[in-house]
Amino acid sequence: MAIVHDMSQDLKEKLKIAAVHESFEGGQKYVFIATRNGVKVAVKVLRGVSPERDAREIEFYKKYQNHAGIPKIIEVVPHDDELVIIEEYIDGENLAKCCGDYKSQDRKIGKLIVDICAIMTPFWEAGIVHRDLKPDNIIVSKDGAPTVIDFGIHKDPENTTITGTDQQPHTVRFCAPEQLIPNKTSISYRTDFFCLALIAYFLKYGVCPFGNTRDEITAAYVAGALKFKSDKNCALKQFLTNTFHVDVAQRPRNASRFLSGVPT
Amino acid sequence: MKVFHQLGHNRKWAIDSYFENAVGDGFIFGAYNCTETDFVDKVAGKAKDDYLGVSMIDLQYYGSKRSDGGKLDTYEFHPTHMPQDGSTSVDGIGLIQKGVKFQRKLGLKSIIVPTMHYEACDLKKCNRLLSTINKEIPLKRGDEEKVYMTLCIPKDGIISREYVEELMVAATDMSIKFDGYYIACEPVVEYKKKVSIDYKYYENLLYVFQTLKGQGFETIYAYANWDALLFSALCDIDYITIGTYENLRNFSCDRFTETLPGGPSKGWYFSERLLNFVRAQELDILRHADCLEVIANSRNIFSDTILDKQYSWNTHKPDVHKNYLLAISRLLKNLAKEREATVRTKKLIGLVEGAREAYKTLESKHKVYLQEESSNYHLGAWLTFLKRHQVE
Repeated sequence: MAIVHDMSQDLKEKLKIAAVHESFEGGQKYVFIATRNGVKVAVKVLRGVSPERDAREIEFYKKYQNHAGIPKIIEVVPHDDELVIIEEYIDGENLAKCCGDYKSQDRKIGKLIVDICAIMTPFWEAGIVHRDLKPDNIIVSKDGAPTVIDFGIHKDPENTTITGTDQQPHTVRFCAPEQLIPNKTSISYRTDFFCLALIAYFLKYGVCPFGNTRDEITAAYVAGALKFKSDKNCALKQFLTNTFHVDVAQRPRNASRFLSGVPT
Repeated sequence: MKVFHQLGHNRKWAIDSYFENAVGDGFIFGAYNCTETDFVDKVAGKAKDDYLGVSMIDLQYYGSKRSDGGKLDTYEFHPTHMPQDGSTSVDGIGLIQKGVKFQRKLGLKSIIVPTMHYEACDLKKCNRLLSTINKEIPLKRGDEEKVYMTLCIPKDGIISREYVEELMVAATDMSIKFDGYYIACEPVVEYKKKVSIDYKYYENLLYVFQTLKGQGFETIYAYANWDALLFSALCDIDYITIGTYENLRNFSCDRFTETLPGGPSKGWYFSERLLNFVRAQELDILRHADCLEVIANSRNIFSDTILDKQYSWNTHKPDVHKNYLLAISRLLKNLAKEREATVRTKKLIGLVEGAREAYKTLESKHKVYLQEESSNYHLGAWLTFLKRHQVE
């Protein structure tokens, strides 16, 4: 267990942290895996880079605290100029780190996609879009069950947007065409479908289907008809073919259609 | 694929052709030509039990603005009674619900949900209305009923890929509970032409059908002209309409009249071999050149009648229109016999190439050069479209 950053002593005392086991740094926060009141928890110290995004994420988790498959917030504590979130510890590994376990495991990948869809479907039906589904934002427990994290840039029809019409937050290698070539009106649950198909492809082959750089991926998306390499026995091929469309209307219109080509 | 008669002026001819000549599989009545009370009694001499079971009704809510002279206002719930100031959205839903209720009360198994049309391609407004209707329309009654939502696509919209894509995203959203769509699209037709040669029109309308079918919806192609052959070859459309007068084959979003522009016409002869209408006056030239057989429809009693030398041509005679109804329904049904789109496409390409050959024969062998609408102006565009979509 590596500790990249130390938790300050006064924060440890304030939160009654008995031990810090692990820490890492994200774009917007420091995360500590610690023991508190005899229970393992995740302590997220938000760096105040994007207060609006932080507030949206906290609000989201509070609103959906009984929803399975997403982190549960135990407490939110203001500390100096920062905000500290204490979350239930998810005993698992980040998918970005354990992706090798899925290589060429079509059925295992299929099962993961089905499980993520089960978590996401109620949100999609409510008009909520994650907008940043990628291996880094999925924690997989030992029994293979996923937890979807980082709803900081989710799109909620009931909330005002934090993005302009000419930009869409995304991670280049795992984004849909309407995010890379910004088209805000096209962002929907079908954006998440596309991202999940990208994840499935990445897990299967260890590479992204349309390139690794912004230029490569943009060129593929601008060209229109998306072509990707696959092997003859790829059981995911139908699922990928159904989903990899630049035109949003061409992608499956609901989760059951989306999953119809998934091997399980 | 089923062929339904789009009924309008002189609907008796279409109804007769169904009952007497086995042309078509059912009817789509239009509110412009039928009063609210017409459906309680006989229509064209047929008892309602004979025709209602195979009928749908297009209440033509889009046609509320300039449809003078029709019967739309005989429906107490028709939006033609509303002030045309654009403030229709709240009351409009109520009228749409009444329109659906009216159809259910008649016992129709297929319900066409009517919708208003907004000017200036206001797609956002249209999509909001689509979404609201989807939420507000009561669920269908049992598995026997099918509910089709009207998609009214204006000319400026169908030639814009962005417009069509946005419309399709809304129409295929996961929340949508309609069984299918009733697609009424304005064709992009040039002056002195009867069918479109606009490639974008063909591409985008095909995209509409293929997207909806691909997402599991049934499709009804309303106000279809004979270029429906192209779409039915490339996509498994569920219902294709056939109509008599031009206004039943060329849709306009904001008016629905039977007035034929351009003055009196002697009428037109539809030739299966040319895949085109030929102006009545030009038939005399063909007769004089003794080459009617190049264009004549076979096994078609109406064609036999109207190609007779003694036939007194008049566009308001039933045979002129019944010839078209029989010929186009045969063409459509023959294509639909093939389950695979690739086979249908190949078959239609053969027909288009045959039609081009027939035109060549008329010119090279018989020195007859058909002009304007009667010429082969559309066949090149059709062949290009089909071949570019042909999957080898």
